[in-house]
Amino acid sequence: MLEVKNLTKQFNRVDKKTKEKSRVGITDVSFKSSRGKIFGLIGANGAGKTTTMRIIANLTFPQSGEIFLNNESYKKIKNLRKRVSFVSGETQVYDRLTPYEMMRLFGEFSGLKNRELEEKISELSNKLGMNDFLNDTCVNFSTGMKQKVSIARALVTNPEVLVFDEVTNGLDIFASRAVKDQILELKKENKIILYSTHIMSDAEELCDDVAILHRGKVLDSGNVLDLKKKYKLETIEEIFFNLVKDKL
Amino acid sequence: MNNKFIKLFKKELLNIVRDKKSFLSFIVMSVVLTPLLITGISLLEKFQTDQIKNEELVLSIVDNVNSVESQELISFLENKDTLRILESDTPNIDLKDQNIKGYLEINSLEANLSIKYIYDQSSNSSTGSLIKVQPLIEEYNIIKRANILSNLGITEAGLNPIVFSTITLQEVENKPAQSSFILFFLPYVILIALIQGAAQFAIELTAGEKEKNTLATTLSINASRVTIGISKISAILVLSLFSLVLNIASLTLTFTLMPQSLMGQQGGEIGNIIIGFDKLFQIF
Repeated sequence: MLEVKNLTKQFNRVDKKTKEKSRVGITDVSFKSSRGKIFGLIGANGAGKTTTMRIIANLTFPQSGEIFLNNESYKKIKNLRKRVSFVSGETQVYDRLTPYEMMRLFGEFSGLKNRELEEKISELSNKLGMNDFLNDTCVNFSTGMKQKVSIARALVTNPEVLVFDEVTNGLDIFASRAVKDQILELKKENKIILYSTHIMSDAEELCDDVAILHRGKVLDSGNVLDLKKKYKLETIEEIFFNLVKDKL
Repeated sequence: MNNKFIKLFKKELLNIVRDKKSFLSFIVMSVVLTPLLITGISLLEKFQTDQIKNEELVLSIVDNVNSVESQELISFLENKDTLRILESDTPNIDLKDQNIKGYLEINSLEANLSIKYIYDQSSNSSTGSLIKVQPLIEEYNIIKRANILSNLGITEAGLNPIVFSTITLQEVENKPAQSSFILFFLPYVILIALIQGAAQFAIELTAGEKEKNTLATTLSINASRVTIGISKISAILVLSLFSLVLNIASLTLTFTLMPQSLMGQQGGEIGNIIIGFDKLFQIF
């Protein structure tokens, strides 16, 4: 289980036109995500989804709050990046390396032995349909191909936690479908999966549990079906608008 | 740490070396830029010098002494084909208006003549005229001195009972000279050579990561930020040293192969110098 407790991280922002200063970021964000389920972090642009996801991926650090993985604090876990992988719609691959080299690099860093690593690369390459371009440098790849490579390098370390931050952004319908199918496959592997999106239909399709984030605060969180019963609404999108209508 | 560092270091180098266009421009810049600059500047200098030599030298003379000696000097100069003397009551104005390249002011200094050449430092042709005027005055001086010595019954050689000269071991062995002259500017060359080639890759490996959105990818590698940073610095350092070697080799070749006529007096000295490793070490 992954438990996020009272995460806070604030930034100063200056409006270029009015020169007004404001504080943005996240405040007291808390939720729990279980194994074998997809936890969705949903909200509009600027809600604080990426900040939360990056803190969970250990790419940036909170000003206060704590994260626990299997009841162990992040602060006490060694080689945390071996156990948590991060993929984002914005995250790019190294243009001059091949998918094979990228997977080897990340695999070697997670301590995989040569034979084990080769098997893992072969398995992922087959699963993600990357055999045709496994040894080509990524420079001329399409966005979909690059996202496949990103997912492959995140999976090669066999992490317990997978953080997907708006991974379908900019993908065409086919690539988006392939990525979502892959995430559903990973759910069967009993991993802790976090998926952030502003596309409510994606959250509806993929997520078992959600937290609705607005202006850096969690408005509500829980099982999707339970939330629908609670608010007597049919879709996550309706729940979202119901929660944020007074705060617009 | 070591193992992780080597893997990251290899990844950074691979990322750079495989960027063929950037890497090729790095090689070309390191090898070609220095010779091009040196040759270009030398050609420009030679062109300017030739232009000054071919230009007609127009002078004025202000004779404040008006003695037999000063008149002798003026008629000596008037007989020279390489210059033309222009009468002028306002030589400063004529110099400013570029009607003359400069003017000679003759004054008395005890029993001798004191000759000053006034020229305009802001004008290339006026400044360049000095290289034509000075030899003429020296030539006249030699003639006058020879006359004086002859009247006294002394020869030029008789005035120098001891002649001192030097000869280097390299000259004896007919090898290129090793001079400390190069030490004067070599640190600057090294600095430029180090920065010149590797600057683009330093940007690529730091700001470039942010630009290409690969920073999050790099930070998600299971290695400390210190290791990531050191591997980047090391890759840049290796490329800087490579750039330095290419630049020094290119510089040495340029001075070795460049025609002596293009190099001028100081360039001629550099052309006969080889940059020994002992000299490089002395700098540090």
